[in-house]
Amino acid sequence: MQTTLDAYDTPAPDHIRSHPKHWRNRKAGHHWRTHDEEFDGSKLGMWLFLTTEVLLFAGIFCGYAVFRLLYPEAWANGSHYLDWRFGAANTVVLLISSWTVANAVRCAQLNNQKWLKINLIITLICAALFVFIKLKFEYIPKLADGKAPGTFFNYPMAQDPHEPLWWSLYYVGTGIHALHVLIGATLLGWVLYRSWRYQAYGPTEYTMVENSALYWHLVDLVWIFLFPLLYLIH
Amino acid sequence: MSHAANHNDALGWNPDDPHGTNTHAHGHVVVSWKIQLGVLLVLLFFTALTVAFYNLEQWAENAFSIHLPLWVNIVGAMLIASIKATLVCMYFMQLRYDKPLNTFALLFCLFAVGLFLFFSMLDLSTRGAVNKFKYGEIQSGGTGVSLDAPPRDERFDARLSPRVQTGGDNLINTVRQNAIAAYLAEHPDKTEKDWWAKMYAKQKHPHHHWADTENYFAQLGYDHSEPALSTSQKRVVRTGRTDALELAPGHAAHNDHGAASHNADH
Amino acid sequence: MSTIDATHTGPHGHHEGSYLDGPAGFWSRIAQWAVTVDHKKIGVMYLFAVLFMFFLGGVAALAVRLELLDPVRDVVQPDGTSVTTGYILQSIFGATDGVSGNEIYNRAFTLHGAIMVFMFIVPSIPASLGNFFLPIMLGAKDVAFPRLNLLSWYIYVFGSIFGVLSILMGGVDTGWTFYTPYSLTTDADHWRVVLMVLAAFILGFSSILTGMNFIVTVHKLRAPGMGWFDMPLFIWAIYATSIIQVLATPVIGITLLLLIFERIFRIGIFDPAMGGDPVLYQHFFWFYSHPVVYVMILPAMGIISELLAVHCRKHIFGYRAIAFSSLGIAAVSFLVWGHHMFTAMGELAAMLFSALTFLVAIPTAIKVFNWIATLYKGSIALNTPMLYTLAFLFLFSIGGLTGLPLGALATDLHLHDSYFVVAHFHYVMMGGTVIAFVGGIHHWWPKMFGRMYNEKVGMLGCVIVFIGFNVTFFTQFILGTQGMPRRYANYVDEFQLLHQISTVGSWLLLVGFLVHLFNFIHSLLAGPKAPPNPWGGLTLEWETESPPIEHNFHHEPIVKHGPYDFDTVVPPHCDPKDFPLPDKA
Repeated sequence: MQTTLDAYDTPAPDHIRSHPKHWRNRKAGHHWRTHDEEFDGSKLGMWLFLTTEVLLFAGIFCGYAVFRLLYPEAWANGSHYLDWRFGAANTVVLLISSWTVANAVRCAQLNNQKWLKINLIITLICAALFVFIKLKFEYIPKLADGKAPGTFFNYPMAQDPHEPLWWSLYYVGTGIHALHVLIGATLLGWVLYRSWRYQAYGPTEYTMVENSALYWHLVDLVWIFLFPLLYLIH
Repeated sequence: MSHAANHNDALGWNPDDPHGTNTHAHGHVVVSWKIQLGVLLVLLFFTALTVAFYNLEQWAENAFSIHLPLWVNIVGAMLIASIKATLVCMYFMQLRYDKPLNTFALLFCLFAVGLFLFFSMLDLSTRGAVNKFKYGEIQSGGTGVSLDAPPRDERFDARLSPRVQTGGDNLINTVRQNAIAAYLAEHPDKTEKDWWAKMYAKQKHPHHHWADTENYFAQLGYDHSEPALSTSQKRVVRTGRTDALELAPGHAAHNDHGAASHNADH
Repeated sequence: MSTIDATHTGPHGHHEGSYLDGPAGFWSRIAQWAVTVDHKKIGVMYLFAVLFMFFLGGVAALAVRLELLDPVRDVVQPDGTSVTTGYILQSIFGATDGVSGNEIYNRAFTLHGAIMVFMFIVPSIPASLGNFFLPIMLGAKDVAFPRLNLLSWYIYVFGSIFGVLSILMGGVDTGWTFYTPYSLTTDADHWRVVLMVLAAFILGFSSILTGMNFIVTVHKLRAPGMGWFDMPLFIWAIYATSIIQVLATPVIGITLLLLIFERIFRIGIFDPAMGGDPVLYQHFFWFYSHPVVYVMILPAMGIISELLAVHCRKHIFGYRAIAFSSLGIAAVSFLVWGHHMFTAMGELAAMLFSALTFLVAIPTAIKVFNWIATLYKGSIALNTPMLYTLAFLFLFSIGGLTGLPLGALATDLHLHDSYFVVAHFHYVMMGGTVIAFVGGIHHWWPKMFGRMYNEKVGMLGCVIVFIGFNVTFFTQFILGTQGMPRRYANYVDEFQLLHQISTVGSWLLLVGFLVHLFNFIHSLLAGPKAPPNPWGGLTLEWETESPPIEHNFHHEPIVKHGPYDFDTVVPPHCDPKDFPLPDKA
C-alpha cells in the first residue's frame, strides 16, 4: 500500500520554501515527543470531538423517533410535504464533496499541491450548492407556504394537529446540520487559504487537512441519516 | 524499572531527537484513488437504491393499493443508510487504516447513542401501560388533550407570538379559518369553495404522494367549515395528571413547578 | 516517581524559574497570564475562578438557609391588627417589582443550584487540580492541546459572565434543572432565563474541551516507562471523568439549545400545549445530568486515593480494582438517568431504571472498601489532608447509602422531592466532592504555590467544616422523612426547630471556610517555603520543585517504580531516615 513516504518530491517555489509555515519547516509542539505522536494525538482529539457531534445530533434523532412514535400520522404527512428529489440532490452533492475532500487529504499526503487546492475548491462549491438548494427549494418556499415550526405554523391545509412539531424537528435538525456545513466550509476555506499562501500542508504536516476532512465527513454522515428519516420514511 | 528502555522504543521516542524534528519514520497510509472512487460510486448507487425503493413502494401503494408493512420502509431505509455510513467511516474517514482506538471511540459513542434512544423510547412507548391493579386510579391527561383544546392555555392568546390567536379553537383549524377569511376579504366575489379548489390545485403538485389524493377533499367536504382532523393519534394515553391544563388561565402556567410560589401567596 | 535520569538535556534543560515567575509590573504580569498556554497557570486561573463561583453559590445557599430560619406567620399584635412575619429575604432586599418573598426564595435556590452545578462543581476538580497535576503526574510538559486548554478557560469565563448577567437582571426561578413547561413560560418578557440557559450551554463547551484534552494527554503523553497501570489513581479518575464529559455534555448542549429555541421561537418540542413532551425534556436533561454527577464525584475519588496512600504511607489496597471501578462508574453512569424521574415515567421504564441504579453501588463500594483496607496498618499522619480524607469516607458513605432508598421505587415514592433528597445529594456533592476538593487543595497547596500552610489552623477549619456540614444536612434527612418538601420557602411550625439547627449549621460552614481562606491567604503572604516533597509522595509531581518550573521537569522523567511503592522506594527529595523502608526480613 502506498504511504506518505512515496510522496512526489515537487519543490516549492522559492518565496514559499523558506517560509516558517511551509510544511517542510513545521516542527512538533514542544511538549510532544515526535511529530507522529502529535499527529496521532490531534487525530484522536478530533475523533473525540466527532463523538460529541454525534451525540449532539442524537438529541435530534431521539426527538424525531419519540414524536414519530407518538404522532405517526403527523410524521407521515410531514415527510410527504418534502420533495425527495431535493433531498436526494443534496445527498449526491454532499457525497461528492466528501469524496473530493478525501482526495484532498490524499493529495496533501502525496504533496500534490495543485490538486489539493482543486479538490478543496470543489468541496467548497458543493457546500455552497448544498446551502443554496436547501434555501432556494426547501426553506424559502416552505416558509412562504406557512410550513413553519411551532407557533409560527400557518399552513392552512394541514391535516394533523401535530404537524407544527414535525416542522420544528425538521427546521432544528436541518438547521443545525446546515450550521455544521457552514462551519465545515469555513474550516476547509482556512485550509485552502493556507495551502494557497504557504503550501502549509504536505506529507509530514497535514493534520489540519485531515481533521477538517473528518469534520466534513461527519457532516456528510449526519445527512446520510437525515435524508431517509426526513424524506423517505413515512 | 528494567523495561523502561524498551518502552521508549515502543513509543518511538528517540533520545537524540526528543522533539521529532525529523520527518516521519514510517509514513502514513495513503488510500488509493481507485478505492476512493469505487467507494463514491457505491455510495451513489446506494443513494439511488434507497430512492428507488421508496418510489417503488409509493407506486405500489398508489397504483395497486399494496400496503407494505411500515417496518419494511423504515428498516430498508435505515439499513441502506447504515451501510453508506459504514463505508464513509471506513474509507473516507480512513478508520480501516487507522489506529483502532479511533474506531473504538466512535463505537463507544454509538453505544451511548443507542442507550439514549433505547431508554427514551422505552419510556415513551410504555408510558400508557400500567399495572392492572392500578386501573381506575390513573387519569389520562397531558399532551394530546391539551392540543385539541389549546385555548385553555393562556400562552396561546396572551403572551405568545402574535401569529397565534386561536381564540378557543384548534390551532390547525384557526390557521385554516384565518386563511379562508383573508381569501374572502381579498376576493369578495369568491366563496369558500373556491378557496378549497385553489388549495386543492396547489396541492396536486406531482411530487406529492398523497395516499388517497382523489378522495381527500371528498372526505372533508368542500364546504366543511370544521374539517375532520385525523383521529388515530389525537389522544395519547398518558399516566399521571397535568392539572395545569385543566385549570383556569392564570393558574395554568404556575402549576407545574411553582410549589414555592403557591403556599404563601394564598 | 523516580530519581531523575539525565537521559538527555532538551532545549529547555537549562535552568528555568518557577512557573510563577514573570515579568515585573502588574499589567505585564496580567498580560502574561491572560495569554499563557501553560497548564499550571490555567489550572490556577481555573482554581480561582471556581472558588469565586463557590463563593457566589455559597452566598445564595446562605440566603436560602436564612429564609428558612422562620416560617411565614400571621402574628396578631396586641392592638388586634395582624402582621405577616417570616419573609426574611424580602425584608432584606425589599419587595421591588411586586416580587414576593417566595419568588425571591425561588430565585435564590435556583442561583445556588445553577452556579454550584454548572459553574463550580463540574469544572472544580478536573479543571483546576486536574489541569495542574494531570500532565505533571504523567511526566508530560503540558496537556495535549495547550491552546484549546486556554480557550476552554475563556469559554468558562464567558459562560459564567452570562450566568452572572442573568443574576444581575433579576435571576431565574426555574430551579437549576430548567424543567419545562414552567421554564418556557416564566419571566416571559425577560431574557434572563435564556441567558442562564445559554450560560450552561456555553459552559458545556469548556467542559468538552477539557475532557478531550485530558483523554488525549493520558493516551499520548505518558512519560517513558509509565504504563497504564503505573498511572496514579487520580489520573484514572480524571480519565474516567473525561470520558463522561465528552460523551454526555453534547446532549445537554442540544437540550439547552432546544430549550432556547422553545423560548424564542416556541417550537413546541417540550411544550405540552403544542403536543410536545415535558418528560422528554427530562430524559434529555438527565441523560447528561446524571452522568455529570459522576463528573463531580469521580475526581474527588481520585483525590482521596492519592491522599490516603500518601498520608498513610502505604501502598494503595486494590490498585486495579479502584482503577477499573472508576471506568465502571463511568459506564454505569449512562444507564441510570431515569431514577431522577421515577414519578414521571412509565412503569416498565421506572422498574428497569431502578434495577440498573443499584449497579452504581458495586463500583462505589469497591472503592470505599479498598480505601478502608488501605488505612489498615498504615502509618497515618493526621494532618489536614488526611482529616479531610477521613471526613470524605464518613460523609460519602452516608451520602451513598442514603441513595439506595431513593433508588428503590417504593421508598422513592415517599421520599422524592423531599429534604431527604436534598440531604442525600449534599452529602455526596458537598460531603464528597467539596470535602475532597478542599483536602486536595491542602495536599497540593505547597506544590502549587511553594508555601506551606499552617497545619493547626487547617485542622481547625476542617473540624469546623465537618461539624457544620453535619449540623446543616443531617437535620435535613430527618426533615425529609417527616415530609418537608424541597424548594418551599414556607413550612409548618413543627419543622422550625430542625430548620433553625440546619441554618445555624450553614453559618458554622461559613466560619469553617473563612478559617481556610484566612489560612491560605496567610500562607501566600507569610507561609514558610515549601520543600519539594513535604509529604513524602511518590508520584511525579513531588519530583520537581515547589512550585514547579515552567516546563515541569528539568529532564524528561523516566518512570521506574509505581506511584504507591512506599514499601520499596524512598520518596524523592526525602531523607531515608524520615522515611524508613519496612524491614523485608
